[in-house]
Amino acid sequence: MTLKKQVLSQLKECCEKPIPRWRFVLRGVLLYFVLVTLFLVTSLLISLAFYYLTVNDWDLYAQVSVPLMHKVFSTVPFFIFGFVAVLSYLLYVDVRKQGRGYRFCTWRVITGIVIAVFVSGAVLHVLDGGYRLDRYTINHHPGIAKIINPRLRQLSNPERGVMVGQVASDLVGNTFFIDNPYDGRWLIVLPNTSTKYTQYVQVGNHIKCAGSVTKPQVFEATYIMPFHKQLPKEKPPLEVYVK
Amino acid sequence: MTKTDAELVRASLDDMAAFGDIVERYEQKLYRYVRRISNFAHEEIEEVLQETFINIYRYLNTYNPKLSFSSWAYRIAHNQMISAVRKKKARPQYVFGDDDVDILSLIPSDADVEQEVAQKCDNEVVAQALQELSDKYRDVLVLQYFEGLTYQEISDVLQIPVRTVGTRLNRAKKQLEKSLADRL
Repeated sequence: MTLKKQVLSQLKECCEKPIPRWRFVLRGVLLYFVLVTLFLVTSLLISLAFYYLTVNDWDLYAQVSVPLMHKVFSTVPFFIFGFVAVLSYLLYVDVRKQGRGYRFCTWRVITGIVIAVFVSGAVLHVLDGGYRLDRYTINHHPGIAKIINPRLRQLSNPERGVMVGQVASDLVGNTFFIDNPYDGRWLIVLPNTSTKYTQYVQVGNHIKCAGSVTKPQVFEATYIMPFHKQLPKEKPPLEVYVK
Repeated sequence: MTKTDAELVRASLDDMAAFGDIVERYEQKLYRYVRRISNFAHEEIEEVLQETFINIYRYLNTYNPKLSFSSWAYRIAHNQMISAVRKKKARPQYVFGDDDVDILSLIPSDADVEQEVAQKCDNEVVAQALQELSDKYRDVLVLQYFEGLTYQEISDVLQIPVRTVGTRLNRAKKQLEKSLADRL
């Protein structure tokens, strides 16, 4: 029996039919959908990273003496970059699975993906995409917000001379109270002669301070500024960060 | 008038008998290809080919007429052969057939040593040298010099970028030359 006869008889025996075209079309559509979704999510995360880098409170670190690596680790959103790396890899796999994805050199695909997500992320950042995502996670998923942005924990470190919190009382003399989300209520003491920071001391304001611990739960501040200055006026209580 | 591959594919979608013409057209080509990159016996090659053509029939709807049908068929045969090799847990080996011509005459090179080698060595030595090449190098050599495929077609068969095809071919030729020079 010739191969032709063997093949045709086996096709008849097994009642083989060509797999319908719609299944391949559906697969192609799904691959495109996944590609677009991954691209958007990755770009959004990049815009969030840009946002965190622009509000990273470097000014506070300039007031205290901490190792450079501490500054880097506490302000660079490594978690986001790690997640972006994973998503970029999935994007790469998706591109390769596309019809003629195998035709492109690996380094070209990777470079293309990296450039595309960074440009798109920068555009989204300009359009406040990162800011909105930050707001959304803080308001609806504070646990996730804590993970992706550990900055608050790093800045709540009186022993290192940095402190953030919500003003809990009016200024009395040169002292007032703030609520730190990790260490509770602290008394903040301003230098007697200083008045330039008093404008920020209003109940409910989020502030960041640089200075030193003088007694238990007493912090002498030499520098005060609004914390996370891009927070909206209707910002949630600081506690949502640490729920 | 002879029908084109695309016309045969369209006809096969409606009429299974038309698929027989595709089998006839590619049977010999694919047989030689599978034999060249595997160490399979005649019966095993027939099995691989049978599975290959059944898969070609199943996936007829994925055939893109913008691409060469032969590249697509080679790719399915290649994948089928790899899965057969995995099943057999054997490393594919180059096998000579009666219809093979002098291999070195098919592989051009600027190196003087190769011309010398081409005159001296026999097909058996070349076969052993080819066996020593890794699969990825042997595949491109066979597709380029035995099947006469272009770089683009090899890229479509092996699903690798065209530049990678060129790189692999260069390395394969160098390795083959070195291996042959060591033997002679």
